[in-house]
Amino acid sequence: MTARCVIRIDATESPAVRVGDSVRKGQNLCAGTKLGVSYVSPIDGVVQEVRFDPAQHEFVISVSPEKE
Amino acid sequence: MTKSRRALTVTTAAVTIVVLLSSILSAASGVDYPNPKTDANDISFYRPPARDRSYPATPSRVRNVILLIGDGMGLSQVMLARMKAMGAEGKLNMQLLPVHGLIRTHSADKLVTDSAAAGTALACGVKTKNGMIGMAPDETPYCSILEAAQDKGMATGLVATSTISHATPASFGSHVKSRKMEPQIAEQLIGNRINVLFAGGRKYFLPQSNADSGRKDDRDLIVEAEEAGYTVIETTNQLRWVHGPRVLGLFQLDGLTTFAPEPMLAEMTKKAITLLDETATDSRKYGQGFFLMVEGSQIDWACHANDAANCVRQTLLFDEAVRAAVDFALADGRTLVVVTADHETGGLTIPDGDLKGDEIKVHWSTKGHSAAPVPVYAIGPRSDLFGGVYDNTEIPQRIATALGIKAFPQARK
Repeated sequence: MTARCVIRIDATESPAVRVGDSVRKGQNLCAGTKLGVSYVSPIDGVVQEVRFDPAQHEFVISVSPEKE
Repeated sequence: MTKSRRALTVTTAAVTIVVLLSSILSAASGVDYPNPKTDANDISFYRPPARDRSYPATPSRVRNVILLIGDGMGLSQVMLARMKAMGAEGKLNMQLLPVHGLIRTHSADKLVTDSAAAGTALACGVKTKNGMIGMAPDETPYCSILEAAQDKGMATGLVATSTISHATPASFGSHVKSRKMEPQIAEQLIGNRINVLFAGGRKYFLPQSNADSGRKDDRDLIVEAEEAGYTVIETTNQLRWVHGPRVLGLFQLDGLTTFAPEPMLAEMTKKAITLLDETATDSRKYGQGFFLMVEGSQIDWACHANDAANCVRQTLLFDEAVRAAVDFALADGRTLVVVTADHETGGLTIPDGDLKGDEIKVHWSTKGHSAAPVPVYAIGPRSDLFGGVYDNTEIPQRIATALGIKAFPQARK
């Protein structure tokens, strides 16, 4: 079984997903292209958490496998 | 500075806030934000200005400079705070300053900047890539206006509500390839002998043997700071009583909570001004005045969470620090105060509301940063340099002009 994945996005950018969204492997998790870096989901799954981490100035997106 | 640029600065036109009609109240953000320990809606600490006319201009030679930066503070953040504190007719302290301007904020390679590239522009007068601190895109370190002031014989200080090694304060006293190198930034801040450092971020000063450490080596920067002549403090009570030419105040392991028992930003600002003014008066080495940068770090954090109440609170906390700086400048007569921001966060607009400010509707277009221009407010000798519409790199260039520093910007030797 695939483990839960955590993706960190520089907070200059905005997340494109919300808690409860279903995402596909390779789907862009980032709303724009401000950073020139693509942040994609490494698995098919459901977004469990979208949290701002002020210390790192990053959004933390947690994705669980569809059948955890 | 070119003649044409200087001509622009003479203007002291008021900034017009354009409120875009957009969708009504922002939807639930879907972002978990660390909850403050007390009520973010409580803004009872804020004292509206007793006057509604602009502060007077004070022409004379510049001895001291206080630069205040609201992280993430665009025009709408200022307007929202003003509306909630005083209604449509009110003005924040920063809006009472006689000179107004606007700056553009793009970084060297992106339309939308981060705080590292914007901090570097505001500190060093050069554009760099997002994430880089105190250096050009080719990794050449550039002298910051704080370091140039030090070279001129001025006492210097940094105050923030983030960690002291966070991007904005870091840009004034360190030079690293990535903003994430906070342990190295902490080393450089102490190594640069900046007289006053007040913020959070104690974990980056503790050796890895300490359970609270954020370092991966055995260096104890607290001990190193004491050996370099710093008095190290951790509490508000210590802040009230401390004196000396070098003071390191680290009031949290990480960023500040901005709630008691920590010192408020205005209290740290007042104390930093007192210490720096004493040092500049008493010390031959620092006899040329002082330079102080104060950051309201958490306006940005509130806006990343699309949290309007905390955005208001953080902006008003910042405005109280502006009041402290302006009170000193008006009494001193030789102090230039410049208030600005590094970028706007949240794409905030105010599509509707009532004149009293009780029912303000807000709309956030992003959880990240935006490319919106940000305001500049100034008072004091040579504040005329800060009017107009210009680039963020010109802020430290104009401060250098006001201080008679000719070689700026310049690569660091």
